Order: sequence, then C-alpha cells, then structure tokens
Amino acid sequence: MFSIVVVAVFLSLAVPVGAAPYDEVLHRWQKTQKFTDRGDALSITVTYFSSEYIEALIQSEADKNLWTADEMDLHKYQLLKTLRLDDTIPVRFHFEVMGSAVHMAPFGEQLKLRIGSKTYNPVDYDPIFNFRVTESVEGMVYFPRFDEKTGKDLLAGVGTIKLELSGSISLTIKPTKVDFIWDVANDDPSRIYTGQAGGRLEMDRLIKRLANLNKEKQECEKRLGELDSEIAAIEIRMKELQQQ
Amino acid sequence: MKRFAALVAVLALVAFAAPAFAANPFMDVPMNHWAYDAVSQLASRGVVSGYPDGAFKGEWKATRYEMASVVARALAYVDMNKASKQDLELLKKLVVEFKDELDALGVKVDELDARVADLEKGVGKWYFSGYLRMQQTFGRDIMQGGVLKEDDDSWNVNRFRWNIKKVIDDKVTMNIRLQGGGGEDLGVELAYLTVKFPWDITANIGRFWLDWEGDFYATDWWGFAMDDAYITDIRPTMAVSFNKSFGMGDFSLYVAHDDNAGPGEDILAKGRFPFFGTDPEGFGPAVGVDWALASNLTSDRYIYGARLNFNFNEMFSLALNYMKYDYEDNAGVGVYYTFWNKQNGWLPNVVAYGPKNYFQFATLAADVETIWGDLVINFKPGITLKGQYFMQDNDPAWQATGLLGGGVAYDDSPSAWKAVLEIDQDVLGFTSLWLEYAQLDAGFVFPNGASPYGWMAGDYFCNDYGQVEADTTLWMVLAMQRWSEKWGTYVRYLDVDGSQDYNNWTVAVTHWYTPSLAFELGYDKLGGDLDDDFIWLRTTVFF
Repeated sequence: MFSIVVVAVFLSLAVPVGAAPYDEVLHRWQKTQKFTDRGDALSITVTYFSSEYIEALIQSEADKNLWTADEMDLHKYQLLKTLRLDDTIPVRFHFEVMGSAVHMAPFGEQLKLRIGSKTYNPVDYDPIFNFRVTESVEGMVYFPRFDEKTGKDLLAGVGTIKLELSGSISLTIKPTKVDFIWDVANDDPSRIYTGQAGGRLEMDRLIKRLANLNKEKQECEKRLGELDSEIAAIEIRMKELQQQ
Repeated sequence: MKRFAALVAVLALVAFAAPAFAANPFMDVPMNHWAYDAVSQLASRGVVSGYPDGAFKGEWKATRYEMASVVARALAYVDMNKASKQDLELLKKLVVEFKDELDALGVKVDELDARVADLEKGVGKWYFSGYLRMQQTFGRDIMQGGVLKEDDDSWNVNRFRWNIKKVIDDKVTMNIRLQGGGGEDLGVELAYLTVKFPWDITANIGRFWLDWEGDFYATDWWGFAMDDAYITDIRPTMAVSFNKSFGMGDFSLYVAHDDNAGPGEDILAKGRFPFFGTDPEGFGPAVGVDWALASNLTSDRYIYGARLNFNFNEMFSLALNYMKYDYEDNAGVGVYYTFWNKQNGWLPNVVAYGPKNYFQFATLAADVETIWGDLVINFKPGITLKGQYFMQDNDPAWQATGLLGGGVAYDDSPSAWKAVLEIDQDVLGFTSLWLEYAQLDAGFVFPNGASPYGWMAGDYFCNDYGQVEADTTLWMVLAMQRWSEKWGTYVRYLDVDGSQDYNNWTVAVTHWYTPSLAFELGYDKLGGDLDDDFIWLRTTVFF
C-alpha cells in the first residue's frame, strides 16, 4: 500500500510528458466540480480570467496555431474585447451533462459573486444558460468590476473571491450550493493592456468615450439653444411690455 | 377556421377601438416580408401551436392586424421546451415589428416584452427530465428466500427517473422526482422547495437528499456504482435545511424526521453455550443457554445535523460537522435467552428483549452521534489531498452487537479516519486516480445501514445494520479514463482487512452511442475469503 501511495505522489508531482509550461496556469484558474447521483452526472467548470490566465491562454493558442506576432496581437485584441475587463469581471461556465437534462433558468438568479462580505449578481450572461442542457454548454457570465455608487474597484485589496451557484439548478447536486474559489490578490488586469492590442482597446474606449461626450455635448447645445430661445423670447416680451 | 376566428376577433376589436395608428392596420403585409418566414419557422419547429407548418406559406396574405394576432397567440402558446434562443429572438423581433397593432388589440406590448423575458428566464414553466435504465447481470450469486442461488442471471428495468421542476418565482423553486424500477413501484422519491430568504439564507424544505461528504467518496461516471459517505448522503427524508453564507464560510443546519425508519425486527444471530447455575427465572439449575440476538430498529427517528465550513483560500478548507441519528422509544437491539434445564428440558423464552431484558447491554434506543472534521488541500491544480476523521458516541445497543458469537462488547466511542489523494486526468494525461486509505474501529456505525464501500458486489465487513464488525483497514484505487467523447473505462480495486479479508475488482467500459444513450459493460469479482464474480450490461437513455 505504502509503495502505491509513494508512486501516486510522484506521479502527481511530475509534470506530464508533453505539458506546456502554461498548462498549469490554465488549470489553476479553471475550477471543476463534479456531481453524481445514482445514474445522473453533472460537471461544472468555471474559469476566472485573470491576467495570468489570459496571457497563458493567448500563448497557448499562438503555439497551437503557429501565429505570427501580429496574429497573436489580433487574437488578444478580440479576446480582451469579448471579456469586457474594463468594466466587468468575466467568468466562463462550462456545463457537461452526463445524465438527465438540466434546466437552469433563470440562470442570472442562480449565481452570485462574493467579494468580502458583499455579493454581486451578474450584469450580463449568455442567455444560452436559460435553455435546456442535455450535453454540453458553455458561455460567459459578467459581474460588475466597479461599485455602482462609489465607482471603486471591487477587487482592490481583495485576497479571495467566491462564486456561488445554487444547488437547485439540478437534482444531481445535493448540497445547497456549489462554490468556486480563486485567490485573486496578485491579479492585475492592467498589465495585459500592453502592445498593439492594448493600444487598439484604448482607442476603442476613447472612441466610445468621445461618442458619449459628443452626445452629451449635443444635448447641452440643444439645451443651450432652448435656453437662448427662451431668453430671446423673454427679452422680446420685456421690450414689448416696456413699450406699452 | 382558426385564422378566420382570429380575423373576426381582430375586426371586432378594431371596430370598438379608435387608436391613432402609425400605419394602416388593414394594409397587407407584403408577401416578401420577413414576418411570414419568421412565423413559418416557429410553426415548423413546433414552437407555435395551432399554426401548423405551411400556414403562412402559399397565396394567403395577412393584414398587419392578422399578423399581430398571430404574434400574440404565439406568445401565449410558446413552448419553452421547444423554443431555442433564436426562436425567442424571432418572437421579440415580431413583437417590435407589430407593436402598434398589438397595442390596438388591447395587449400591452410592455407586458408582452415582459412575457418574453419571463419565457426566456423560464419563470413559471414546468421542466421535465430523467432517464430509463435497463440492466442485465450474468452469473451472480444471490440470496433468494434465504437460499443461496449461485450464478443467477437477471434482466430488469433497473430504474426509471422522472424529474419535474418549476421555478415558482425569483425566490422559490420546486423540485420533484418520481422513481421506480429494480423491484420498486414508481413513487415520489424527492419533493422539495428551495427558498431564498433574506440575509443570504437558503432553505430546502421537503423530502430531499443531504450530502455533506460528496467530495470524499469515489464514484463511476454516474454514481451508480460508488463508494459512499460515512454519515451523510442521507436517503430522501422529510427535512428542513438552512444554509447561511458569510465571507469565505458557510454554516448549515439540518433537521429531519423519519417515520418507522430501519429494517424492522430481525434475528441477527443465534447460538448455544454451556451455562451452569440458576437461571434468572428460578427454574432451577441450568446447563446450557440458547440465545438469539434480535433487533427492532423500526422506529421514528430524528436526525439533527450542523456543519461549519471555511475556505481559508483556494488551496485550503476545513469543515467541522455534527450529526445525530436520534431514535425514539422501542428502538434497539435485544437478546432472547432460552435456558436449557436438565429437569424441565427447553423452557419458554425466559428473557425478553427490550425493557424487560435482564442484561445491561440490551438497552433501548440505538442512537448514533458523530462529530467529524473534513480537510481539503488543493496543493497543485488538479491534485487534491483530502482527509476525514470521525468520532462516534453510540448507545449501548450498538455495543451489545459486539457480543455476537461470544465476542466482547464494542467500544462506545469508536472512531474512523480516511485519507484520499485525487488526481485529475488533465494532470496525468491518460487517467484520473483516486487513492484511498481508511481505518475503522470495530463498532463504528454507518447510520444509513450499509457499508459505504459496497460498489457493485456489496459489503462484507459490516453487520446488517451497517456496523463495522472488527477493526478494519482498507484501501482502494480507482482509475478512470475518458478516451474520447464516445468511450470511457475504469478499473477499481478494493482491499479489505476486517472481519473478513477480501478484495473486490471492478472493470468497466462505457460507450456513449449518442450523448443521450450510453452502454456499459462491466465485470466485478470478489476474492480472498469471498468468491463471486459476475458480468453486467447496462443501457441508459437520458432525456
């Protein structure tokens, strides 16, 4: 028995043959929970998009597809745009059903992100999770990154976060809820906004911001025009009254 | 005819309504308008009932009002089990297109939008799912009517499950499961509500499973063949549970009441031993005693549990648990003694079990009280070390069972522990690995009434009540391989050194013919002190 344990420990400590150096990073941010119930099975994998994970993911795709630096940068740009890291905390859910179909609707009400003593509901999620799942489904869920009132970064100074999924989504899950936990203390999303992709994303943000400012400006100008018209009308009327 | 009726209704509505229209409501929708195709698509996929495929094809032209009435009816009839995300998008698009006409029909578009949103979220819908499983076993030794039947073949509908779910509103979800097969009639296995209360408290109310040890036992792909929890994984019982989250921790409470729990009165064992003295009833000198150990565990019982779990970080978590199986009166294990007397021959039952019993060990109530701790260390991604330590405080009735066959009474506070090393297939590449080592004191009770290491072949180191018969050590290895989406295999080896020394090999190969249809062929063998082997073939369809 002892020898088997020793072998297993060595196996577990050894880096598998063919494993890339970033595989461990990819695994670290993917948390999987498996449930079985006498004939039913459900596996849930949730990925937290830390800067470390994103870098490893891009590198892994680049290696797999033999991308050039430009192609890698384009992929990074598209990925970061999808992730909406500038105002959300994105996570990816992957449900694998090996048993009775699962119905999770309304999915947005089945999960919350616990940061410190507060919890946050998703601001957006892929509506595919609201439909019957019989095999496998994956999609994104976005939680707010900034406090709605104060604008403060919710992850600033936070060590560990917990994603809580209600157990009522499936009878295969017997606990009241399912937790996914990540240590995010050293995660710094700003470090991935570098290079051409970072520049393009910043340009996108600036264009968006410019459009908003122009819209505000037009509204102000419209209001200003209305005020000018009203002032002019008042002045005309005052003149009329003075002449009477 | 339906179309005509709808048209009449629309016209009647129009006659009495005088809204301001942005467009002429009686204007035909042009034949090349996308709405025809949209409604046809919904009809052909069965999303819209009452409008069979082709209803909107051909030469017929609809007015905007008619089309709006179709949209209104589509929303009323839409079937979420058939509607895809794209279908709902189409419906939404139709609602926007015919907003004015829907307004004129007296149907608030805002309400329709809300209805679409509700449909998309699934609020108020009934959901159905489940599976049907058939099994054939070949060459298994079974006990039938107290007689051992060797190498028996058995074919049966092993299980049918029908899950029913309804999201009542944003705070209440109802789950029901009907289950039957394998010799059991179809009945309600589960029926409970999950309710969200203020202050982050969630409650389950009704008949449901409770399992606080799901991370600490191994299963096959579906948990059909499995090890099990030592204390929890409580069978569906009428209960209430509360869970309160705080930061990185959780606190849970559980209270259940089980009517007439337990297997009923049964003779556990019997024997004869020499006895020289006066029998307790004063019939004179006796030279021998026949005894029979009987049980009466059929009793109402309460189950109380509490759990405090804390995740220090993503690597390390600790939990403290308490659970008591609290039997009401008249539950227990007792001993019948029959004294053999030279003069009088066999005497009637002299000593009854239960409250009339002379013997200290045969007291009432068979309560089991357990405190245990859980430790989980994820020391590398995909590699987890887990441990559990259990301490029990059991009533004297459980100690008495140790006297079976002339042994000594069991300790009243047995303990057990186990350690598990789990490695994901992602880490090793070709297989996952579950390595488990456990030590259990004689007298330790698995309160659910069976060994948690039963897997396919059953348990052989416990008595009928799930009590460990002798100090036991065991170790187990489970290696599972998912070769592709279509194929999976596993091999499991269990070695037990207890009241019986035996081992148990299991190998199985699974083929997912489609994601909803799986076949499994397996072989199970008991060795050591035991000798049995059999083959099984299982077919399962999920829906």
